[in-house]
Amino acid sequence: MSDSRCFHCSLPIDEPIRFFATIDGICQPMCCPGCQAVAEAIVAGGLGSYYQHRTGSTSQQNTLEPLEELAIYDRADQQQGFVHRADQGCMVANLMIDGITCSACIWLLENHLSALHGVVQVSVNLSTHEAEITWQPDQLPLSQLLLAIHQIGYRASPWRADQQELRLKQENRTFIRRLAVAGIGAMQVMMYAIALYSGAISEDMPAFQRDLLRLFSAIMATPVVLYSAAPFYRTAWRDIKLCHLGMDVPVAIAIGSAYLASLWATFFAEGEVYYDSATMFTFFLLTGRYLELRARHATIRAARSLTGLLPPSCLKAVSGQFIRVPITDLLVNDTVRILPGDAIPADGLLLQGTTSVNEAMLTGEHLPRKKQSGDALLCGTINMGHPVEMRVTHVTEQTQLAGILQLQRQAQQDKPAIARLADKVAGWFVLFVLLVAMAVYWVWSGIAPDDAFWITLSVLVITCPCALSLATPTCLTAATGYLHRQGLLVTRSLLLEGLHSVNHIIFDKTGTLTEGNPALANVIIINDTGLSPQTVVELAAALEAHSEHPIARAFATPGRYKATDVHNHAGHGIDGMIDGAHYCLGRSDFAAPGQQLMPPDEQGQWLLLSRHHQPVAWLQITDTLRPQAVSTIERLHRLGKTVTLLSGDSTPVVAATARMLNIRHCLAEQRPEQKLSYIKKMQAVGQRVMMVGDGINDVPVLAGADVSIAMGNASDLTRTSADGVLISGNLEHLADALCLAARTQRIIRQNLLWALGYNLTALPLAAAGMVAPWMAAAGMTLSSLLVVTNALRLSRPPAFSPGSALWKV
Amino acid sequence: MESLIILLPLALVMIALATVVLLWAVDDGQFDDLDGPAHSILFDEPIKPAATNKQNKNNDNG
Repeated sequence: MSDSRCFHCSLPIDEPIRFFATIDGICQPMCCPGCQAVAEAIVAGGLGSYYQHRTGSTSQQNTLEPLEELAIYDRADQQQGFVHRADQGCMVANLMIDGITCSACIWLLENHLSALHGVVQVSVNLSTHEAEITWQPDQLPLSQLLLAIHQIGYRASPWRADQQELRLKQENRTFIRRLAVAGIGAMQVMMYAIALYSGAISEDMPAFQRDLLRLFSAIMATPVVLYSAAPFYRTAWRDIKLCHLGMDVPVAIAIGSAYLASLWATFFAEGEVYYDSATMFTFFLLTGRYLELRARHATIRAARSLTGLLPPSCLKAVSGQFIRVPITDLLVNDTVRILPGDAIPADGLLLQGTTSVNEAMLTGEHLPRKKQSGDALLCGTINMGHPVEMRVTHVTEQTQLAGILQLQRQAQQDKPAIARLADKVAGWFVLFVLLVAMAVYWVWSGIAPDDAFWITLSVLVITCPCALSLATPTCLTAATGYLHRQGLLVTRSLLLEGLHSVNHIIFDKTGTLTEGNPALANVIIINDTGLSPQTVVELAAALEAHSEHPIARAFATPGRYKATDVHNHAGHGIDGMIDGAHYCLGRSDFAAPGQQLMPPDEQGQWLLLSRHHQPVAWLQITDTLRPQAVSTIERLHRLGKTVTLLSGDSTPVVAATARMLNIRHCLAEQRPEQKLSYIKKMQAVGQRVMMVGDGINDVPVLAGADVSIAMGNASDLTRTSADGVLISGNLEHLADALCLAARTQRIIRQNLLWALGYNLTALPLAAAGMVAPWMAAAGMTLSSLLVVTNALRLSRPPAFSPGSALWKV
Repeated sequence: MESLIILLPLALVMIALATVVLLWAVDDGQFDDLDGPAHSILFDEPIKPAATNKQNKNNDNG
């Protein structure tokens, strides 16, 4: 072993280094022929500076796909949907590119492809990983183009832009347009408003000048109110039709009435103008909603990668020979061959041989699973071992992958709706204000018909539920932004409202509380052989250096020994010669046959190291806990939450983890359906459940919980159904989020209390005709400002930070 | 005071221009990817001779 690392993909390389590539005149070590070929292709294209610019570690490797597989895309029927004709005999292909980690990848792809003869234009989108390539098909077949992408280490798959994606793009563009118009308009109107306000205060502004400023304010405000604020009117109208006074009803009434009243004031030269309030309000609200929109789009896009799990074609047995066919041609009872590194095209049974399969995308388990003949292989998982043959049992909609998706959709549909306090209050308040305004108008038209309209408007403006409707969304936006900076991405805005009421927190084990990587936990010397634990580990590492078993990763540190004549015994262990002595490492009946040794402890996985079949030491392999797991669980307990461990793992392992973390409730060997029914049971007895999980098998469970959070390393699909994603992987942030949620609720209450209090105090004054409309407008703006400033406190860390001693007491 | 009569319409025209340019940029897809272009300025232009070599090499292979 050595500490050499592959220059291309940064993986450690075993000595002796056999592969090299010359980059910028320096001979750099490579781990495999795949990386070597990729690096050589990059350098040969004059694109060596990619290595200087990259910011993420390179993930492209070993993707030298046979041209044969790609050639299937030269068939016209296979090009349907993602290739379309353009001008001058050119074609345009939409591709989804896998392996893009940073902007240097974009540069590499665009430059490498544009250098090809026959390529007209290439554009790659960093956020969506979509590439649009225009090329001349008579000069270059599509398969060559795809091969060129594969040569520099990326995977290209056809991207058939569906209706949903087009809609997302359109939605995004429309929103930016609305935001731009609102921003520019509000900025300009605000400038005029300052002049108008100072004129009103000093009372020396000529009427002509005032009217001119008002007129131009009206011109600037019109596109903002009519175009930018249009979605508010639409939602408000929908809400009214459904007989439900939602948040957008007061918003629409506030903007609409302020604007109409201002227009009246402008053209009839009586009363006050509120263009500034209307436009700023529109801009503020749109900004908040745009941030929400972007987060939502990111999660929808992540869900698309699931279809990318399926290979485009597979090797099917036809009269004794394997030929490559599109996956859509596959039928039940077909026999297919799956090469190492390939995704499994359908559900099926392994016909012969053994292999290991990475099912991480379905189970969240990072370790590959051994498969023997007769075992089930699942669609979308990846063959990591040998070439094998499989008999197809289920295709397309009948596969487990499709089933999991179906389960996810169902669970999402009966997600408990969290009542929105502010929306409800605002709803009732709007109804109340409308009734009061009508009454005021009726009373005043009896007393002083000339004043009736302005007094009514004063009432409407001063009680305008701007502050009321700003109270909740600004708090949520500020808190969401703070959490995002902490590494907890909020994908649904109900997360914060939900977190507050959570009193039962359920954790998955593998990949959530643990890292999901095996590690050496303990060494126990059995007989006094004079070996130190350090020596034992180094001896084991020397043997495991020759193994590709996942456990070998636990012995990644290099030692001073070299093992020779090493043999792997699948399912038993490994043996070899070190310094002339024969060592075995593995199961106790393999390392020390006939001695019937029992592991020192029931938990974890124990390996026995023996010399000349005499036991030397026990080595315990465990999946290490995340560093913050213990302190987080302790904090959650102190916050008065119930914590449960719900895992698919075997009972002893789960029990040991629970004991280590001081978790009192734990359930092991749970299938997703059982996890879901456990959550339902807890909900039935009135508990609010938060689920923290990882992997697709947790998806229905996550969707069924009141609040769900996926770990950052979870497969992309999980992120879409979870309310939040813990990108940082730091569990402490979960407890922080719970505290922040409580703080958010407190500030929302303060805001609502202020807004309601202000509105209710001002209402009688306005109704009595004691408040001039400009005072009402100023009051309304001040009230909104106060509410927003209060909400923005949430975007800063709390005065006593979670890390400080005070917090821990 | 007369200056207002010139300045206000002038501001209006400039704002209108700014809005039109911004809306054109949105429709042109310049706001579709908000992360990538920020980095692209750091990269060198493709080196032409090397790119031609690459082309030849690829043609040879193909």
